[in-house]
Amino acid sequence: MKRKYAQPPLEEALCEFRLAKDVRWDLTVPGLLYEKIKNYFPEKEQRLVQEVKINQEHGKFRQEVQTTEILVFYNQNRNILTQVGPGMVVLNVLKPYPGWEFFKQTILFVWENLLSILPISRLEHASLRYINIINLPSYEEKLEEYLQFYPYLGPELPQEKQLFTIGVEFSYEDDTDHCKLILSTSNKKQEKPTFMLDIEYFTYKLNSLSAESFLSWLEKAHEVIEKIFEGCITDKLRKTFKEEKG
Amino acid sequence: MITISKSVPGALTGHWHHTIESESYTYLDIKNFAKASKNIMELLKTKLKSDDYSIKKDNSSIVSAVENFIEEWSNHVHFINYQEIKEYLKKHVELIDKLPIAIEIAKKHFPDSHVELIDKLPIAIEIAKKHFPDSQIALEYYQDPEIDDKYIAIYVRLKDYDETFIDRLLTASNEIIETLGVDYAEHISLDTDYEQIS
Repeated sequence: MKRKYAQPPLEEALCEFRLAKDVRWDLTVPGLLYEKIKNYFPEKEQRLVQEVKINQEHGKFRQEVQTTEILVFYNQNRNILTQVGPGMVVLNVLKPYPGWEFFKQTILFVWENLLSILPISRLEHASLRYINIINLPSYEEKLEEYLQFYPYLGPELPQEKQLFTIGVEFSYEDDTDHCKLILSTSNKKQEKPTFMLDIEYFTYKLNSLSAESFLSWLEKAHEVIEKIFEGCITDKLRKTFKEEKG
Repeated sequence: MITISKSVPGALTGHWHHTIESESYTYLDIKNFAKASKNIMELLKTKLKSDDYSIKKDNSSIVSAVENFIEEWSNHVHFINYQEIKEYLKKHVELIDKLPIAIEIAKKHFPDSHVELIDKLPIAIEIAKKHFPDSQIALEYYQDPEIDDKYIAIYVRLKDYDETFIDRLLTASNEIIETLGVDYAEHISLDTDYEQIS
């Protein structure tokens, strides 16, 4: 049975899909999509996203910055947004998380409107990702009492952990999909120990997902993420999320 | 060191503490991040050891974009009300692109008395964007040494400039003056260079 929590640690859930290269994306697509979804996402903003490339030649650094314009459509509360860039759409939900059914319907709402603008047969890449922020009561607490996924340090190593990042990638669907699990500490020391548990299910093989399989893929992705999340936490931590019975 | 805090709803405020010397520049466009982010590049240089890198930031996640921004700038900027700033930026993720530019301009070109521009410039840009949602916004640091005049020019660029454009520009400009107050507005001017965007 699926568990439901009154105070889930979810900070952000996002679904990203990149269209196959043969899809004829042009500059009018974001505007057309906005027209179709603006009743739900009325606030329009613009982001410039940079990818920085640095090369070192003869001891000197050469930098190359590629800038991509991303349109951001917010809902009225600014906690659910659609980001649209060339050949790419991202749906983000910030806390409070409205639940999987609602999030899925929002993804499908945008997806179906995109399909009505563009003929899409295949996705180059898709991912569903859940970012959780977990706070422990104090720095004296033992991580292993709260999590079932944590760094193991041999007896010869210093036992006090300042900062860490650990990750593992699981394979699914005959290695077509992967699920990446990352646990990291916050870089800035907080009042209470804070950890980011980042779970992402994504298509590992490029162009492996057909448009008609998108919905079933989403369900599968969510199911895996849910299992991984539950597998990461102990009952002691679960208790702090205040499980809802029935 | 610059201090940034979120003290009133809807605004990030800043205070100037210490100058970091770096190469100066006089023109900057929001689109041209390379010019605007020399400090970030300096940070990257110190972090990178091997020959070639392609740094792909995690921009899809809002939480990660905000964390990355705070981390990149925390060596130069002291974030007061750290949590509140994070929560505010999550709902205004587009400011992440603009804040470094505002910080750079304030740091390089304005004496202590004008550091509040760190706060005011994003507000002025937001007003300009509200009146011209489909525009491109460019910034220029304008300096006329003959009459010792200097200010930040916010240029609105459109695809087409129709006959209503000037009136709309004046309306937006008046709103900036009313919102920021005359003292700050004299350092920020809304204008156009009539460059056409595609």
